[in-house]
Amino acid sequence: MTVRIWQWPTRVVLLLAMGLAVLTLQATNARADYALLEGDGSTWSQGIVNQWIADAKPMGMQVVYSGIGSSGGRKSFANFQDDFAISEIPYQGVDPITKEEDASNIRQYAYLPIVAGGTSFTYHVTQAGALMRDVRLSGETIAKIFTGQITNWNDPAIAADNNGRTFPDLTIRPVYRSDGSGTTAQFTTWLDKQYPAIWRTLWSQGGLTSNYPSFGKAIGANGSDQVMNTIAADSGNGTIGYVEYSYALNKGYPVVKVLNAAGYYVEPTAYNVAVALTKARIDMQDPSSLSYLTQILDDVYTNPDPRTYPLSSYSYMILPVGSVDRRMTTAKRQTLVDFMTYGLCTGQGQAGPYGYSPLPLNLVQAGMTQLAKIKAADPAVSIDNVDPTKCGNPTFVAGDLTRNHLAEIAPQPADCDKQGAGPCLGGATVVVGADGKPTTSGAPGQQAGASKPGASAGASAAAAAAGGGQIDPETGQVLGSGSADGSTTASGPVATTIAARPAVGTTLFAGLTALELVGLMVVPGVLYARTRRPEEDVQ
Amino acid sequence: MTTVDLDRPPAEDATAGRTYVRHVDGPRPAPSRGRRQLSAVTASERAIGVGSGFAALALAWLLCFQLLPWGSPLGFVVVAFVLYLAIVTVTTSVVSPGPAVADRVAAAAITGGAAVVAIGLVSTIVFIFVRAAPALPHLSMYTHDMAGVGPRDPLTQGGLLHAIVGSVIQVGIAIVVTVPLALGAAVYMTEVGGRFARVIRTVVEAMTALPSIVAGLFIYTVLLLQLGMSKSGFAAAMALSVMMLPIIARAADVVLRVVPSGLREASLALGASRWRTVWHVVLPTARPGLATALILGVARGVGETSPVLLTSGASTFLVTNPFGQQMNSLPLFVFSTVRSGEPLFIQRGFAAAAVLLALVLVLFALARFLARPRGRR
Repeated sequence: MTVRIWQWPTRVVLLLAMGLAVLTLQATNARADYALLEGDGSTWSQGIVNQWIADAKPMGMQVVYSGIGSSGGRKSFANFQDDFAISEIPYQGVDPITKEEDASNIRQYAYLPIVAGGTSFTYHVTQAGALMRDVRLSGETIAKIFTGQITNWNDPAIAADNNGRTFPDLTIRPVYRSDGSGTTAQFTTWLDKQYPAIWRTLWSQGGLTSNYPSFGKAIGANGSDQVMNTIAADSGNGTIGYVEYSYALNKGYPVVKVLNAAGYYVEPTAYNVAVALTKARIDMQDPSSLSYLTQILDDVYTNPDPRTYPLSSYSYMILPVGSVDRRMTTAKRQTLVDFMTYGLCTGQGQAGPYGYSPLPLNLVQAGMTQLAKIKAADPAVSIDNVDPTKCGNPTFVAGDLTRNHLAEIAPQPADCDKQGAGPCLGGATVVVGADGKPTTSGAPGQQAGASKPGASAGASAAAAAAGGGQIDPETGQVLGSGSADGSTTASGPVATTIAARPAVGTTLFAGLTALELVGLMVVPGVLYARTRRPEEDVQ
Repeated sequence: MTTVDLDRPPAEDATAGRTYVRHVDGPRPAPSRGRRQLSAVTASERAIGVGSGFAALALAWLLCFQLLPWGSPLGFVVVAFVLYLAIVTVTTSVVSPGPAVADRVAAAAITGGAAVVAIGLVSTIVFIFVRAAPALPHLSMYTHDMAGVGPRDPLTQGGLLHAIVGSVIQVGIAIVVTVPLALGAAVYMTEVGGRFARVIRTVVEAMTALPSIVAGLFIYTVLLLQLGMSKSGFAAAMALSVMMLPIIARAADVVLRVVPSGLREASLALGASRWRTVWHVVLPTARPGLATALILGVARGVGETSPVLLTSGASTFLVTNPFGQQMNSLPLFVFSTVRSGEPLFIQRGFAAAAVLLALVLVLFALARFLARPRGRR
């Protein structure tokens, strides 16, 4: 009897013991002078960091990175829960919303720039049943859209940015990050610096925020992937949101070309961001200040180079540089130095394909100064490889640091992207290939053709009309499908507008039609049943 | 008025003005309109059901995808269901009288409602497996970890082994911790009782509604910050335990309460102590129910992401030591890959979700096997 009673618990215990027995087997294949490195933080940088981790594995480095968010990473670092953290924004002292302390406490740290990127705006606007591309917006228009001052895509300001291109009558629904995020912080930093008057109508206290305030028709979405899904959904017509460039690239959605100080509308390509960041300054003034060693992007926003993407910034790695740090060992410090040396140099070559941008020389040098601080904390660490002249970064030539390699290789924007010209429609878009070299989709001849559409703008509407389309006498818009094959997208600023999907005004009629249809199906049956019922009752 | 019914009192007869015939034997008179079939489905009913279904689908397609801007599968299903009810009502009322219409409509509403729920469930599972299909056939998915595999590397490289092993270890530790505690709490609540037991029951019931992130934060604050433990599989298992304990304790409490008190009384009458009664009579009697309680707890624990997110870290390589080193688990792997926006990572995430579904199924089958009634061994 007792044996049988004991059967059940013993079987469970045996089973669990078998499971736990596996635990004793522990494989460590790291090199002797390297140690396992654990970091966490920004989800924004996760893609490239994961790639570096994969690349560093054959070199014997084991690195774990968990994307728990920038603020989580900063908190973990302060609590000695990780060996490094990655964050888009520096420690804030006190969180403006939660009033929680946001500081590293006793742990000594330095900010190391790791990867750059542009805050990109992706949108979903369909016209004539096709997704609109090549939309251009000035910073002011973007600021007004994201503060609820411009609410329709046919707003004159948007048309003016696009040199008179026709936009559908469609409500703008901005999509913002509902969770605290570094992307929001980067965007609102730019808003606060460039358009404080507009930004402060929504955010009266001024300054940056990690939690975007809700307003008007705006939709909150949790995480960049949800922002992208909200925009890419069938129901997402009319939405615009800010995400990392890689999310838009992976979904195949267009991003807004933003007006820069030189008067060109540019996309956040790897080179445009890198060129912009050559003007990034690092705050070196007051070591006791919270912003010590952080980025000052004012000159980036107003960089006069025509290849500048204004909303460019970079994320930081928060490095432990204290000589007394209870988590760090010499082996860990060495791993960190070698991992980041790879990241700053050869690893930057991977940035372009992932929608990031390689760090330019000024920031790589600043980063290496920070890495050297680890050597100062622990003399046993070797920093022989931390040297810009040995660095395989794609934006400069390792052997010749005085040469402005980036200026030589970064492509100039097309003439049709200039303010008051164009817009470039269906023209060549610069895609950075896996080799880090820009390639243009489309032959040079086509690009040249697309660069002068202003001259053929008037003719294209006429051509569309001659091709079978009709021009509405009241609006001047081309009605009907002049060229059903969709080749009108390559025409000039006067694009064809065909309402394929019901727009806002026609929803009422669609509803009435639907009601009528259902009535047509159901009412005869009801009437027949009514006329027949009394007969039955008599029976 | 041929015969007088002797069963009825004369007074009632007088008011009714009728004569009742009592048939003692012999056949009953045949019903005038034929016997009404209550359960069987006639051909016309079947035709109405199928026809209405087709009509509703076609009409819903017209409405959702051609006329109104609701062109989503969810809108289609809901519109089709509402239209189906309307069409069934109308068609049935054409051929049948009132009560039959109410019956058919009620039946259609219940069947249709069940179908809508089934569509929801099946589409979830089908969606996961369809999205996971490109990744699942690769053997490396089950035999490799993600060490040295970048976000853009093909699916032939790298796999889910680290996440599977991590999940099994974490849930295993959580079971070892929670089962004795939860059973003890349940036994205390049902067998010992008293005022304090009521307090415990209230606390347990309140804890079942505990948001999972709070469990993670609790462990993060206590174990990681206060005690200085590092992120590890053990910390994650503790967070999962916080989630699983109230579920198992509450379900076990309910199960133990339905053990017939006659069994307890018999055992006590035979001179067994209370402890022996619980161990030898109450718990074995409730065993299948206790296994279900365990299943519910494991099902809750194995799919939790947020407690694990804060406490385990996300390693890319196989870690079998639950102490002192970051681990990964299936829900965390799904979470981090699906949110990455990288198409190949998203496929791996769906593969992990499919594996998680399969793992839960295996765990359920195992628990059922362990707890099957003695007679059928």
